[in-house]
Amino acid sequence: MGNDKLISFENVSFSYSDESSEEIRYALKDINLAIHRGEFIAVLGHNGSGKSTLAKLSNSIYAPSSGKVFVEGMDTSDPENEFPIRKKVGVVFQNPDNQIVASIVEEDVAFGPENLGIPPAEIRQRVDEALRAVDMYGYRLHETHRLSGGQKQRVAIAGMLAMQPECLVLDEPTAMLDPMGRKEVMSIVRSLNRERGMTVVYITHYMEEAALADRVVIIDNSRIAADASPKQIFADQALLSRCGLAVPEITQIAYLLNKMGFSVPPDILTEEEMIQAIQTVSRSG
Amino acid sequence: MIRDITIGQYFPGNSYLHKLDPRAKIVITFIYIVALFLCKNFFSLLLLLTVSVAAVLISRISFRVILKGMKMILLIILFTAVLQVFYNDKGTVLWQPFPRWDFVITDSGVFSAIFLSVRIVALILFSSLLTYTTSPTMLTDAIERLLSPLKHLHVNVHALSMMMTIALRFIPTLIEELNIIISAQKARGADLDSGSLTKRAKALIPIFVPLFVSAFRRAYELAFAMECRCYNGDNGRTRMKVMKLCLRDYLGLLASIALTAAVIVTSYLDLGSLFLFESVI
Amino acid sequence: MALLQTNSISFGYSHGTPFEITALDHVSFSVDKGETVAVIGHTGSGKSTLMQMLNGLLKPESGAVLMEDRDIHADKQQTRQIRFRVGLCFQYPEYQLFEETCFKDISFGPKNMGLSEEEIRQRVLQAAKIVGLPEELLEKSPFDLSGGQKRRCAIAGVMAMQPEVLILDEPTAGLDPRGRDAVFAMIRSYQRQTNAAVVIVTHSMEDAAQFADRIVVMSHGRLVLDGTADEIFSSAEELMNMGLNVPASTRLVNELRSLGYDLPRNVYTAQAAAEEIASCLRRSRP
Repeated sequence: MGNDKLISFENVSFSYSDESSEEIRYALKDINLAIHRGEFIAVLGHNGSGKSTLAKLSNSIYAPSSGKVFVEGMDTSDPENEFPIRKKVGVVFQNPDNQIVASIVEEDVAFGPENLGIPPAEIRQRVDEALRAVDMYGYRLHETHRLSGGQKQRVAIAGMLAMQPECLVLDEPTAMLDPMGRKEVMSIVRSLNRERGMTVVYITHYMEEAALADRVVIIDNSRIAADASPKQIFADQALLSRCGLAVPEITQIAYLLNKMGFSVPPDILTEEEMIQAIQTVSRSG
Repeated sequence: MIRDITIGQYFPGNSYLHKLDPRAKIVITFIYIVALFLCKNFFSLLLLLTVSVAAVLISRISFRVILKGMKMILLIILFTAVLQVFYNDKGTVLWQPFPRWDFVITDSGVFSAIFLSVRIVALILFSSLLTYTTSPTMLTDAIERLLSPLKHLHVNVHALSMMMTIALRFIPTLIEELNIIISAQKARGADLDSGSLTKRAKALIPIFVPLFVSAFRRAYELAFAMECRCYNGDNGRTRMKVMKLCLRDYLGLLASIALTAAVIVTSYLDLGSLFLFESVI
Repeated sequence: MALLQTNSISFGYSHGTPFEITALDHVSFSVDKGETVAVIGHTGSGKSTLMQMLNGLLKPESGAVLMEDRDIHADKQQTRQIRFRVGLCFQYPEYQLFEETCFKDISFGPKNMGLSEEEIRQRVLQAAKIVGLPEELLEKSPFDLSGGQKRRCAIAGVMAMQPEVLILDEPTAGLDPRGRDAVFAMIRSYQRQTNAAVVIVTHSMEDAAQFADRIVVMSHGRLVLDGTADEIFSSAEELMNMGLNVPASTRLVNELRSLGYDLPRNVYTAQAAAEEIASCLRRSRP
């Protein structure tokens, strides 16, 4: 990782005018954030915290009201950079239905590379590869509207992968899915990061999903409230409740046991860690 | 249920018809429809129907599926046929069911009803094969190519075909949404099936306002998603599936022209009136 | 006599097509006054179809739906009245808002019931109060509200009919923890005021465990489990085999049990898990 910055937000604010009160509101204020190559960052925040604006700022759909966003050194406010940036930063949105353009799976995945003017044979290759990466190759000739929510979202991810971006930004990709769909999407995103080295920015309000990231950024009241490892973040109960977020259940148990006087670390995130900690306690006891 | 409708659906496959260039398919379908309208006697109609049935066999799509999709339309055909029988009072009277009334069933009426029904069935069989064997995107792409001469008249053919692609993609989604909205408003006591005409029209407001609001929201989000995928009209756009006319396409086109010629010959030239029945349409 | 029950009902979609689905297979379900039942199952398990059976939107192909022992499909006029007694709030109900003002939208149900202006007004205000929608927002267009406020307005629209059975399909879908707690609080408050029966469809076992007196599990159109949270979570493995998510606490305790720790089966909250693990650890100390 090191200093290899892929996307950087420098003093970024984004404002809009509220129609009813005519006052200027800030979706984001004074954001400084660097996303490095190969990282898996989770962005947490409650609904309306401004976290979704981050996604549209990252690929030049929105330009910041003040400050600058750079993607590999390219300024997103410069219209010249629009297409090169969108090629590098793929964004997947919340509603799977509203980002699928074509009626047949493989034709939808081909849409991005077609826009980029890739030669037909290479598009075919990219589409097949992208569909395999999200485990949807067997569905390539299926109709998109008959797929489950999780499958649709995987097709949307494949549509981005086929453009061969450097980074995937996912804006609450599981908010409208059932638990099975959430699991499918989460495990695909994780394997893209771990096995293919894809840089991932994962915007969510599900704590279990954020726990899988390398780094967690909390946005509250349009500002960055915290930027640290998941362990540091989840052990800080005061911070989470101040930002309207829930503590993951396992961490909650660790916290309670710790308070009852057992030597269980209060920053445990996973079941495996918890079982190990309990085994250590019962052996030493 | 709306989800049973199969018209306009695509059944992926590998048959001769699936492999035909979609542009050729559109032109062949068009020629076939012209032939259907030119056909004037039972012999040529039979020929056209046989071709239709043969095409279904070649496509390897089961008749059951096709008939299921045609269920609603068969009802409409039956209805038109019955009207045709009652309306037509030329020719020899076959039966006068109500002797007091001036109402007869004639041979000509029956024949024209059969003729009309067979014609519509053949038309639907053949033209539904076009959508059954061609994916929506390929179809709209083909239309775009066929209409490309219009570009010189400053018609944005690409935008038109993109609109068709998106419409085909979103029709099932919006129908599903419509069903949910109807159920939800019924759950709040909306009464859609009784009362005067104005009352019924008013009852549609709770259905269509949310549907339009949702359609606009979807359009807005889709526009963002398309921008994220570098959509920029047809500037520098390529296609995954390349369309190239080859021997089988020319053969298909040739066959459809030959068929039309055969229909014209049998319909309009007096070739031994043995198998010619002059239909009265 | 149950307030509302289904007697072995069955139902299927798209008969005779390749997309045929048996949505309900001899389902017997019941709910009583003042009771809160959570219905759980993954997508396509038949739970949404069951909900539409309960208020008469769908008619079973076999079996009957009974409200106070009377078949709700016995006569047509009565079936429509059932919809006012059994209020059904669909998933993402904010997508069904349509009126010029929130007040008018909430009064849509009561108006269809044929109530007097005064009665309607009273009910709208009461429902708005339960869902925490400030009175000054009632004259605003529902389309100008925030996402959370829209959801409140839509739920108020069902509550204003003052149904004896309130059914909500995934009422917390897409909400963050704060929004979720707020929705559960308003349902509780409605129930306290009216002693209504509440049926909640959810994917979340955590929500079901916390909120409901009784949990019903659906799978492939069948009602497979019906019991208290204690009873249901005792069969955690069965739930996981059905593709359902059990709470992390239940998974952890089960894992520890299989490693030989002496823990009870029916743990489903962090608090209970911590307490049980603590007492188990203390016991094993010399």
